Amino acid sequence: MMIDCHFEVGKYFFFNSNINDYLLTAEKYDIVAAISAPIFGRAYIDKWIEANRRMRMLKQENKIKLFGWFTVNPWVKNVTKSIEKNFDSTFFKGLKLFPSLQGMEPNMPIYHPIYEYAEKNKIPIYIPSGYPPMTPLQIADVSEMFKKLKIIIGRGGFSDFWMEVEPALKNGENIYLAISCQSNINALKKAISALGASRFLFETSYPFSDIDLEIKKLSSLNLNRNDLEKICYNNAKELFNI
Amino acid sequence: MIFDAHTHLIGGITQNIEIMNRLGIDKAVLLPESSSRDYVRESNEVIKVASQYSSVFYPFCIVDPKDEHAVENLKKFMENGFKGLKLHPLVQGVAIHDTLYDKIIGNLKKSMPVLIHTGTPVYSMPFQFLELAKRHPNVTFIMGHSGLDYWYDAIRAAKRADNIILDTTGIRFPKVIEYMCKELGPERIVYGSDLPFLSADIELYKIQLLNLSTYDRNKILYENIYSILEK
Repeated sequence: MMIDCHFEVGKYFFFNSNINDYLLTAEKYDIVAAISAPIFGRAYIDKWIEANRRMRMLKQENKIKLFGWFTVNPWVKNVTKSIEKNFDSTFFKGLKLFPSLQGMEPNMPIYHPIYEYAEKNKIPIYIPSGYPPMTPLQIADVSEMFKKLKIIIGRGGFSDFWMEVEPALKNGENIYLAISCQSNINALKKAISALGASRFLFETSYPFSDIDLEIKKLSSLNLNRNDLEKICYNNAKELFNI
Repeated sequence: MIFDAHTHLIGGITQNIEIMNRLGIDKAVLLPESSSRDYVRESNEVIKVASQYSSVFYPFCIVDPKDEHAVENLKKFMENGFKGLKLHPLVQGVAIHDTLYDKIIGNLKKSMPVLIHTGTPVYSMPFQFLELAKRHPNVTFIMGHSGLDYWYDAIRAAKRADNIILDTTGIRFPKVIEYMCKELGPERIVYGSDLPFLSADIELYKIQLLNLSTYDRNKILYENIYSILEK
């Protein structure tokens, strides 16, 4: 059994996320639950209210239980009130932020009310990682300020920022790494071996990455059964209370 | 037939050969590890290995543009049979478009391609690559990693200079390769794995996953890099 911690729904440029295609492939790999986010773009800027509404309307007709990432624009006044009003915890499993679309580093004060709210209400935060302003160490700095906040560094550092993954996770036990999109298998292996498997999460990041490819990468990690089960299922089950 | 345009010699060649045999990779560009300042030693190790497997490996040397003996060493490398040049601006601490690289590129044999790492700010960006390529229009430049997440810049750069070839090594979003193919044509793309640094299984699988015609696939997996190196 597997839980996909992050895939995206919608169309951006030539990336087209067809939910039926996703479900068909996901079922093949015994993915039993998946957390969907609106696709890269205006959902993280000015269309976040509509995006959250669309996510909430995803039909639950399949064997795969669908959940959502709630998005917010940190520039909006009283943003936490909107979260409080619209965050349906039976469906949304956390908040997804996108610093490069929102125009600042993830540790900047404008995000702090969101983090305070999330920390208080035990809501995990997901931030895709990669180039500045969202390198793993920039994201990890948030955990220094909000020590009880669960933070997921998405996309495994993405590019050459694989080199920040291990030090970022060493910043605190409240930091997790979702491992899609990282081609440096050796760096992931090394990080899992050094830190243990308890803070690594499987994600597909479909349609940007590919489900089959992410599954193949998992097998390339040559993990023992216990670690594999943690990364594919147990860690997410516990973190998101699925 | 598969020709990997981007492999490294890191700690011996045995693992590369085992993996290539298992995956059916027939030939490969062999680059130095590119991580030390001792580029002469690294390059000499590559030519030594490549000469033992001359039907398989196409050796590329690396040169540090800050070294006062850089051109002299490059000339020796070319006499020794190197087929191309690798530059790593990030490791070398020089931006791709820095004129320091001009003296190196200007002394290359006409047919020698240059493979340069890209995708790591601030020294290794696609538009910096374009600036260098425009200054040397008769040289073929292979853009290692196609800018990684700066893939759109990589495609734009390749559109603006015909002497730029994109390399698929380590591209994070496989569908980008399909898009590159549509925008530039399959003739401008070469397959690479970064073996043994990255997983050749995964990098090859990215190509296999794509919806490409046999013609496109053959161009990317073999013919393009072969014709660049054998022209």
